[in-house]
Order: sequence, then C-alpha cells, then structure tokens
Amino acid sequence: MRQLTATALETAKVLGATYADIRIIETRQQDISIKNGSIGGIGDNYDMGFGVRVIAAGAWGFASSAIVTKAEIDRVAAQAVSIAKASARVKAADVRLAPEPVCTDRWQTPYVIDPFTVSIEDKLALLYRIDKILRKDKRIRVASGGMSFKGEHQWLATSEGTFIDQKLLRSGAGYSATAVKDGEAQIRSYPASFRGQYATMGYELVTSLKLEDHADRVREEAIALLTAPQCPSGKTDLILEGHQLALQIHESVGHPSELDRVIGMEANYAGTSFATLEKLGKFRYGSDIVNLVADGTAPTGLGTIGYDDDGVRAQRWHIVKNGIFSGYQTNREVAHVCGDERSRGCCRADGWSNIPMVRNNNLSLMPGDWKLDDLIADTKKGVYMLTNKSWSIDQMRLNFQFGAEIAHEIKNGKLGRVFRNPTYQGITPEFWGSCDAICNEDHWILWGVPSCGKGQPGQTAEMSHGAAPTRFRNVTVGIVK
Amino acid sequence: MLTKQQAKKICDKVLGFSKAAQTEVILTDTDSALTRFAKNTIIQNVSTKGIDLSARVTAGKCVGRASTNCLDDASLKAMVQQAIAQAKAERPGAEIPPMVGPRKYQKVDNFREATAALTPEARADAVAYIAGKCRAANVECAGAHSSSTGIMVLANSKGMFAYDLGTNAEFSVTVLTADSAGWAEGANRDCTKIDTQRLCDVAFDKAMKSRNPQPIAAGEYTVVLEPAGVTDFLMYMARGFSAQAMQDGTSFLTGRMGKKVLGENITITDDAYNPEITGLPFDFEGTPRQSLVLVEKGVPKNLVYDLKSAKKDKTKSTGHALPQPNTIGGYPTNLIVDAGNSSLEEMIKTTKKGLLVTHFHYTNLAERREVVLTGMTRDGLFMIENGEVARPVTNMRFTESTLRALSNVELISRDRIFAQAFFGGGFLVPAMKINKFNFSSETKF
Repeated sequence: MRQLTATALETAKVLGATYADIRIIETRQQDISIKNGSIGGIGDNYDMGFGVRVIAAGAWGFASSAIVTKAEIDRVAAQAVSIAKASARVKAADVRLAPEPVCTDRWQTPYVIDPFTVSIEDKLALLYRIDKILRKDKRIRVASGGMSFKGEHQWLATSEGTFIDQKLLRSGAGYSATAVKDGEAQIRSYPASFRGQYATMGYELVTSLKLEDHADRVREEAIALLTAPQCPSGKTDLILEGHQLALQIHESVGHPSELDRVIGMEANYAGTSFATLEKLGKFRYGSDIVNLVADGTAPTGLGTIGYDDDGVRAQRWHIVKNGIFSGYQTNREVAHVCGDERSRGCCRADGWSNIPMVRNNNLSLMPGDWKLDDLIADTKKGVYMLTNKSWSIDQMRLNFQFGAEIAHEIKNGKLGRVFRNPTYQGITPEFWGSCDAICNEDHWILWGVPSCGKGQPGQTAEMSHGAAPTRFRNVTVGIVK
Repeated sequence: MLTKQQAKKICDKVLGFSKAAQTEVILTDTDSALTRFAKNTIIQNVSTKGIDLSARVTAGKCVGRASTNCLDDASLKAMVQQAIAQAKAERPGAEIPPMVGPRKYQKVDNFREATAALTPEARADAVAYIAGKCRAANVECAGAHSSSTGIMVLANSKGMFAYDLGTNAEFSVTVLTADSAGWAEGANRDCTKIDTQRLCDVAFDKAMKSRNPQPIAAGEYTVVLEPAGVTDFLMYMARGFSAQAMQDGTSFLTGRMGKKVLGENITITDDAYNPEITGLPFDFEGTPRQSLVLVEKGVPKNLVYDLKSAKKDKTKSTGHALPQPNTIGGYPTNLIVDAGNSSLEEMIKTTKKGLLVTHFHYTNLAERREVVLTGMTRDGLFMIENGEVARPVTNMRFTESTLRALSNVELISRDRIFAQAFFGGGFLVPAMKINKFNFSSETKF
C-alpha cells in the first residue's frame, strides 16, 4: 500500500499540488433480512477503491476510481490536480488547513466475535425464530428482521507524511412488527426503528441485544396500537425515551454544530445553522443540566475511529456545557473559522469515492440523577414517547417536528393508556431550555444512527448518540394537522 | 466506460461461473462529476469512476445475492460462490418466480454526448456567473453542478439481456442575503437544455424579493405551489402504488381502489417513455417497463407489480421491479402529474389571499393512512394579496394530508418541470393552486 499511495502523492506534487492525500479503502458488507419468513434482502458486498484529494492553485480537487492499479492511481491523481485548477477559477481565498502533527499509526475497532465468522445459518436461525414469535397473531401482517455487518480497512497517506492504517468494524440488528386492520397499520420495533441498533462491535452486539426476549412484547404493542386513541393535541410535559432523544440530539444539536453548515457550505442542500459564530461560549442552548459531549473515542460508537480522514486523532469535547453553547464540530479546513488552532477530527467521507467533509461525531446527552420510575412518578400529567418514527427539522435547525412509534399517557405519576401516532413540535433552544430532568447512567444507551445523509453528491455517515429518558416541560404534542 | 459488448462478455462470464438453477447479473459502470460551490467559491470539485457487479442466484425457494467491484475472474467466481452459499444456508421461503427469458425493449435514447463531455472548466464557468453577480451585490450563492454517464446492464441464465447507456445533468443554486434566500434547480439528460444562467437569475431575484420577511400566523391558507413543492407529495405516495404494499395491507390505497381519493383534476401516470422524463425501458428483473395510469381523475386505477407480487395477484408484472430480493415489491420511478391549463401567473392573479411557496425542506411522513406530511417552506415564501405577490413572509412548517391537499387543487399549470425530490427520485410535475392548505407552526426567519 505504501508504494501505491506514494504514486498518488508524487504525481500530485509534480503537477503542482501543495497538499495531497489518498485513501485506499477495502470494504466487506453483509446484509441479511427476512420478511414474513422469507428472505427480504440478502447481500455480501466486496468493494475496493481509492480517492485522491489535492489542493492546487489554492483550491480543492478530488477524483476517485475503483481500479486500484499504479497506472490508474497516476491518472486519477493527475485528474484531481486538473480539477483543482478548474476550481481555482472561482475562489475567494486559498484553502487553509489547520496544522496537524505528522503521524504514522495503526488503529482498529475492538471486538470480541468477528461477525463474518458466524455462519449465515446461525444468523438466519435467530431471525426465523423471531419471525415465528412476531407472527403468532394474524393481525401482524408484516414481520421484518435483519442484521448488517461492515468491515472497512482504510489506508490514508498525506503529502505531509502521515500514514494511517485503520480497520473499522460495525454490526447491527433489529426487527419490527406491523399490525394491520381496516386500513390502519401500526408498527413497533426492537431495539430501535429503522433497522435496529448499530454499534462498532462484533457479533457480540447481536447476542447482547437479547432479540428474542422482546418479540412477544413488540407484537402485542403493535396490535394494541391498532385500537389505541390518537395522541391528544395540546401542551404537556414530555418524557422522551433514549432512542427518540438520540434523533433529537442528532437533528437539533449535531447538525447545527457542524461548522461547515454554520458558514454556509451546505446552504444549497441540507441548510445552514442558527448556532452562528457569535453565539459560541455565550448562547443558552438549554437548561443548566444540559451537557452534550462530542466523543470520537466513545466505546462502541458508530463514529468512533482512531483518526479521521484528515489524519486527525479522535477527540472528546463539549458542544453544550451546563446549557451554554461551547463548541463546534470541525475539520482541518474550517477549524480556524471559529478560532480553533486544531481540527476536532470530524472529517469523514462515505467510502473511497467521496470527498471527506465535516460530519456529526458521536454526540451524547450526559446522564443525570433520576431513576425512570421516579421521573414518571414525579410527572403529574404528560406523555412518554418511545422509538423514533418520523423526523423533520427546518434548514436553520430551529423548528422541528418528530413522531414516535408509541406513547404512554402519564397521569398523576403513573403510566396509563397507550396513544398512537404521537408527535411533538418545538423550537430548538426553547425545547432544550425546558429540559428539567435526565435519567441516570443505568438508563443511558449509546444509540447508533447508521444512515445520516449530507452533502452533494449525497453521502451517508454513521454516528451514535447516547441518551437516557429525559423530561421536557410544556411541549406541544399531538400535531396531526 | 464499458461498451455493450464488453458488458455482455462480463455478464456471460459470471453466468458461466454459476451452477445455480437460475442466475441473474446486474452490472453498472458510472462516471460522475460534481462541482459544489458556497460563499461565492467552489468548495468541492469531484470526479468518480465506479463499477458494481452483483449476482443473484436462486435454488428452489432460496435466493442469494453477492456483489463486487473487482472484475477479475477470481473475484467474479468468489462472488458467485458467496451468493450460492447464502442460498444453501436458507430455509425455503415463499415461492420465487422464474426469471424472465429474452425480451424486446422499446428504444429509449437516454444518452447525450454534451453531458458526457461536460468538463470541470465548463462547470466552473457556470458557477462563475452567479458568484460574480453575488459578489457584486454583497450576497452569497451556494449550489451544485453535476453530470454523470453510466450504463445499466441486466442479464440472466434464461438469456435475458438488457442494456441502457444514459446521462444526467443537474444544476441547483441558492442565493442568500442576510435575511432571505432564493432557489432554483434544473435537471435534464442533456446539460445544454439546462439554462444555468436563467436559473441563477431566478434564484437571485427571489432572494432579493424575499428580504425583510415578516411573520404571519400559522393556519390554513390557499397556496400556490411551484412544481418542486408538488414533488414531495408524489415521493410519499409512490410506495403506496406498490401491489406488494397493498398485499401487505400497508398501502394508503388499501380499501380505496376504484374510489375517489384525490380531486377530479388529478391524474397520475408512471411513464418511462415520456420524452421529458425518459427512464429505463426495463426493470430490475428484465421485464419491459409498462406505462400505467395510476390515478385517473382522482380515482386509483392501477398498481405497479414485480414478478412476485404479480404472481400472488395472478396477473403479470408491469415492469416495475427493484433489485431482488427486496421487501418493497414494485415501485413507480417515473411519476407524471397531468398538466392543467393554467399558469403560475394566473394562479397568483386569481388568489385574493394566499401564499406562494418556492419549495419544501426536509419533508417526512407523519401519518401513513392519509399520507400526512410535515415539512418546512424554504428559499422564498411570499404573501399573495388581491392577485399580486405582496410581500415576503417568514417560513412556516406545514402538516397536511396529501390526499386532502390533492383533493383541494383549484388550478394546475400547463408547464411542467422535471424535478428531483429531497432524497432522490424524479418526477414530471406542474405548479398547483391548493386551497385550505394547513401550516402548523411558525419560524422567525
């Protein structure tokens, strides 16, 4: 690999690049899913390629190819330089990278069981058993379950002398049951919606989830939702379970703190951010108990890496500290904009074929002191929403509206009726400002988000958000129209 | 880029390596490029060459699929073996329909030389125009200019072989002032048909006209939706047209086929052969793609089928299969809303009080049965008063049933655009004037 990477760096330099890097990536991904006892999707994908990123004439150029040969690397490196020179036709200032120590290192995701060594028969056998439990009742018309495993071997070499050899491994699993009657359809999922729980772990993730143990409950809850009343409309206290809160963190804190968005680099697509530069260190993002920490080193996080695609070591820092907006997510290109001398290590690309950009890191709401039972007992009137179903947030990341799979009424400190189609709406700083109780670490789970979209061309990235059930006061719920 | 002959040779090689009862190969080879700009500067400029090859094998009621982007013999053999091993590991599931034999496909010319030849320099020149204009006006632009050329090839052990060579180009631009934004987008297989300068001017003018927006109260309004806004409705209805969703009971059309669900003036077809929206003439099982009227004068008439869902309903595939195996069934990828006889100008002129919406942001499904969507207005929201665009207003969140909205359409434009949806998809859509459209909450920008 050293020889191949050297080819790209030398070619780029000879042609006038002032900076160059090459990432060669080899990926194996296995996906298995079943629907109503039959294969719903199956695939074993092998993929290899490389991308060359250069700065020439003060502007970026990037080219990539699936043909990993010395001649193709030579061609693609030259193409990247040529593209950079075309970029320079429309530039306001030269690209400037925050300094980063030169580094040679190896890093790999810790895991116990290599998921690719577990037989497909064993994986399918578990999914078939769950399917059988879910379809015990004929009102369950669609039972789906799946697993996904991805191993990625990355080599990064830069013209500054950095060389990183990194192996990442992630696993995921989950299932759902959809109950149908008279045109109504309701879904329940475990351990999370949208394909389940994901983590940088081996097959031990799947066994740790105890998937079969929850299948009876999931089936019965889906059926109960068919006849449950609609979530009432109005203002009330809201307790969000961890998975729903993870999406709330992702959308209303993660994306707004990506510094490239703040300065307008996503303006044409995903939007900008209300968390503008003058707010750093001053703006009240939430109540005093709100502490949100970005952490590229968090064990099992989907965004947990040794080094990002700029070659920057993973870090941990506050985005919101004691309710005050305290930090951005950055890469080497934009770090200087907020006065940082060093990148926070958030530069990641979707595979070899895409250019790296600022991506959400693992970002978590730090646990509080409450036990869930005590929190519910302390809530006179409210709703407890679980498992994300729908999400939408504006282009400044202020006005959001989310939906959950299920809600429980809270009346005089006790859980009551089940509500279907629960939704809630708010404005980001007002919402986080209404946070008055967070459950403790016993309830805290790091939830994986395996498919965060951003950029043009569209890229997918993975990250995790840790959360425990949390209470928000006087929130608008039950928006059906 | 692989030629048709080279592609066929690779497919034949893979088929030759397989001893499975049935084998299918999907091969893509794509060159794509994109210039991205923001803050009046090109911030990303990329070119990618990607190949992907996958094999699906079936053995009785079992199926396997594996893929690779390495085309050497050893990699291809390993891929086939991987797929066969998967199939052997399974318990027999639902019956898998036999793969199709050789078919004749309608000729569709999806390739445009100018798009294939578009250079980074030419893309930069298009960006330079709006960057210069914005710099002079002390405002900022952002956007993307992209092009791609690719082949889609299908072959199977029954002798089916399908090949398409196509190009795509797109230009989208946002202009931002301190308190407003304007946006425009164009997409076409032929990049010369996209008037990038006109799109830039539209976005610029809209940004200028939407400065100093004033808040208004959420509630029901008559809206004049530019075509991009209409796209969101189609995107979330599309899956409901799948016969598989109907069989599962999860389609919004469950129990509603043949009954009026949309307005009398709404007709929706799926047509890959419309010259303004040409798509693939075959689906991912090799079945020729049919043109279908899905909703006629507000009444759902047809569903889209793949082989499996067709077998269950004892009918034929309509040529709308996605790559198998999947849980979705057929899917309409070329949705077209019938044009009306109005214009954007007439819609505004006939509106006493209403809102002109440029497009929506981050729309998502809030409720399935009535296809209730929620999303934000974006890049230019204007109050219409007494038949004129009176003033800009701050953005609002809508929460509205698609079925209700498309039952309250008063006017539909003659002109239609090819529009891409927020997370992909392509539709031919007109502008619409819709009464009683619900906005559920407000913003301050």
